[in-house]
Amino acid sequence: MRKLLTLRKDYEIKLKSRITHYLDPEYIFIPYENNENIISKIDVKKEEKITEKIITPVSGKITGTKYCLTVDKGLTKCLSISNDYKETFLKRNASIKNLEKISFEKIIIDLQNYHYYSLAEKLKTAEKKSILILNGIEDEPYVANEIFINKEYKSDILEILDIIREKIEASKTIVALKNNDRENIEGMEDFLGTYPKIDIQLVPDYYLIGKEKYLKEYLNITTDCLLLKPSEIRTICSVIKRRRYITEKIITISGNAITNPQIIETKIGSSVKDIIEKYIHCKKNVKLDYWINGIMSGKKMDIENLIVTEELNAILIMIKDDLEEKECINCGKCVQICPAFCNPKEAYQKRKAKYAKDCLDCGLCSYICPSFINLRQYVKGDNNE
Amino acid sequence: MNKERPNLHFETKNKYFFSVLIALLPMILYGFYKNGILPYLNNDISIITVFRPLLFLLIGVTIGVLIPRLAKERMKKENAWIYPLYGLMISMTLPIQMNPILIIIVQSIILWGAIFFRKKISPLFLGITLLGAIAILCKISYLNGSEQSHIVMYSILDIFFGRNIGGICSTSIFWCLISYIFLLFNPYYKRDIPIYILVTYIIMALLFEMLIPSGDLLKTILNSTVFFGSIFIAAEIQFSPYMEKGKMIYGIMTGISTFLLTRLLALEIGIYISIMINSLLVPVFDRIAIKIEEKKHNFCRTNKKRNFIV
Repeated sequence: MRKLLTLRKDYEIKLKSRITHYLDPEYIFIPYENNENIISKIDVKKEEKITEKIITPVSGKITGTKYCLTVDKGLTKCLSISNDYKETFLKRNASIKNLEKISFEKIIIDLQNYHYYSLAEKLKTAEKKSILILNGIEDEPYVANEIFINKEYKSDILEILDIIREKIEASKTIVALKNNDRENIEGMEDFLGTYPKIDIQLVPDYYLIGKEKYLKEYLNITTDCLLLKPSEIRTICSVIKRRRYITEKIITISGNAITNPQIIETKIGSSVKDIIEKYIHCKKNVKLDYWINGIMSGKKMDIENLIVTEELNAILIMIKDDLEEKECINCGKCVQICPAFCNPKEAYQKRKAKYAKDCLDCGLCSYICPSFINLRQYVKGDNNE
Repeated sequence: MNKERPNLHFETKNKYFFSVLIALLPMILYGFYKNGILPYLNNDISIITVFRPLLFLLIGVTIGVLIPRLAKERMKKENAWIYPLYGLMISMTLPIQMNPILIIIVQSIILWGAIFFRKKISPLFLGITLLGAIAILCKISYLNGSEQSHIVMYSILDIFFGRNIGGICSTSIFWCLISYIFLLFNPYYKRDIPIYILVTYIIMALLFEMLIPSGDLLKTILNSTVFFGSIFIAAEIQFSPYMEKGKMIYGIMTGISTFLLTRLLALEIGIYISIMINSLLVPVFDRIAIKIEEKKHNFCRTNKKRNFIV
C-alpha cells in the first residue's frame, strides 16, 4: 500500500486570473506525413480538411513546409499556413440548441466524424448506471489548464455533463475538485442549483490524486465509472453543440523564471517562441530551462521551433537547476514512494528497465531522491546501457 | 528532448546529516558532563582532563573532515559529508581511558581505507568494532576518574539516565530515546531498524530469563550500548538495508546475534560486532526482500488487485 503525498513546492506561482488570448498568429504550422496527399491549392479556409488528418485552424495561404518540433514526435515536417486574419469558414454549421434529443450513440458518432477517436472510444466503454465523474483536478504543480477550463466554461461543462448523465443513466454524478481550488468550488456551487443531481466532492492536494485509480480509491468507488476532464467535455460541447472542431488550445506558461505566469489560449499550430516573446517577461540574468507538460512528469525541450499541438499542455520556464547529481546514499525512499511498486534503486544500480511497463512516469522517485539522481530515466529505460 | 529530474525536490541529504548531528548533541553533552564535569566536581580529575571527552570527539570530526579533503579527486561525487559523522560516532563509543594517539592512527587508517573500499564495508562499523576490540584486548578501562576512585551501586534509574559504564557518550538510554523521537521526524532515517533490534533483543532476554532465571533481567535489557548501537549505528543510512522486509530481517538477525554476543559471551561491544557481521549480509537481505515484493506484486498485477492508501 502506498500513501500519496503533497509535493513541497518551493514557491508559490500566482497565475493571472484571466486567460490571455493569442488568436492571431502570423503563421500556423501543422504536422503532416509524407504519404498524405495535400490538396494542391494555396488558399485555405478555417476548419477546412486539407487531408484526412489536417484541419486548418485559420484561413489563409499555404506557403510551404518547414521542420518544426512537436512534443510527441520530435522534429516533424509541417505545413506552413500564413494567416489572413479573416477567419473565413469553409462551411459554418448551425449550433444545436436542444441537446436533450441527441442520443448517446450520436454523440459517439459525431466525435468520430470530427476525428476525436480516443474520446469516442472512452464514451463507448461507458456502462449504463455507472458513476460519472468530472475530474477537475490538475496534478502537475504550477499547471492549471483543467482548472481554468472548468472556470471559464463552467456552464457548458455542466450542461454537457448533465446530458451525459441522463444518457448513461448514471447512478451518481460527481465533480471532483481539490480543496484548495476555491474559485471553482464557489463557482460550481453557484451553478449546481440548476443541476440537483450533480454533487461536488473535494479531495486533498495530493500529487497523482487526479489519476483515475487513485481518485476512485479516494472516493470509495469500486464500480464502473466514466471519468471525464473539463477539456474533454469542452471538446464534446464543441462537437455536438457548436458543430465545430477545437482549433484553439489552452496552455499554461509559468515558472519561477518569469514575472507574469498565465494561461494562454492560442491557435493549434502557433509557434511557442512567438507566444513567449509577445506575452512573457523572463527574469534577467538567469539561465533558463524549458519544461514541457510539467516539471514532474514532463521533459526539458528547446522551444526554438516548438509548435502548439494537442499534446502540449504547459510550458514551465524555470531557473536552471545547478544541483549536482551525487552518489546514491541507499536511503530507499524511491522504493517506498513509488506508487507503481517499481524499484527505481535497482533499475539505477543495474541499469535495467525491469519496471518500464509498470512505471507511471510520475517523477516521484526523482523528486524524493536526496542525491538528486534522475531515477525516472533509469526506471523507464531511457538511460540504460 | 531530455527527461531530466524534476526542478522540485523533497529534501536534501544535508538535512539528514544535520538532524543526526542534532540528535547526537544530547548524548555528547551528557557524555561531557558525566566523564568531564562530574569527576572534576568530585575532585577526581584535573581541569585539563575535563575536556578529554571533547578532545576525542574533536579528533573524530577532524579526521572525518580532513581525509575527504585529502582524497578530493576520488571523492568528487562521493558523499564526503558523512565522514565527519562517522568520525564523531566512532569517538562517542570509545573508552575514556583510550590513548588519543591510538584513536588518531586507527581512525585515519579506517576512514582512508573506506575511500578505496567504500562499498565493501562500513567504516563506521569497522572503526567502532576495531577500536572496541583493541580496548578489550589491551584492557583499556571504560571507567572515568570518579568510577575508578569510588565504588558506587547504581540503581536501575541511574543506569537508565546514564550512570553506567560504557563509551564516552553512549551510556544514557534516556537521551538515546529522546534522540530517537527527534529522528523520527526525519523522513530519511530508517526508523524500523532500531525497533526490530530492540524488540528482538528484549524478547530474547525474556526467553532466556524464563529458561535460566538470573534476576538480572532489567540490567540485561537496559544495556545502553545496545540502545545506542541500534538507534545510531545499525540504522546508519548507507550500509543498512533499504527494502522494508530487508530491514526486518536485518533487525531480527542483529537482535539475536547481539543478545548472544552480549549476554552469553559477555562482550561489551557485542552489538557492534553483530552489526558489522550483519551489514556484510545486507545485500542478501535486500535481495530476499526484493524477491518477496516481486512475487507479491506479480500476484496483485495478475489478479488486478492493488491497494493504495490516500
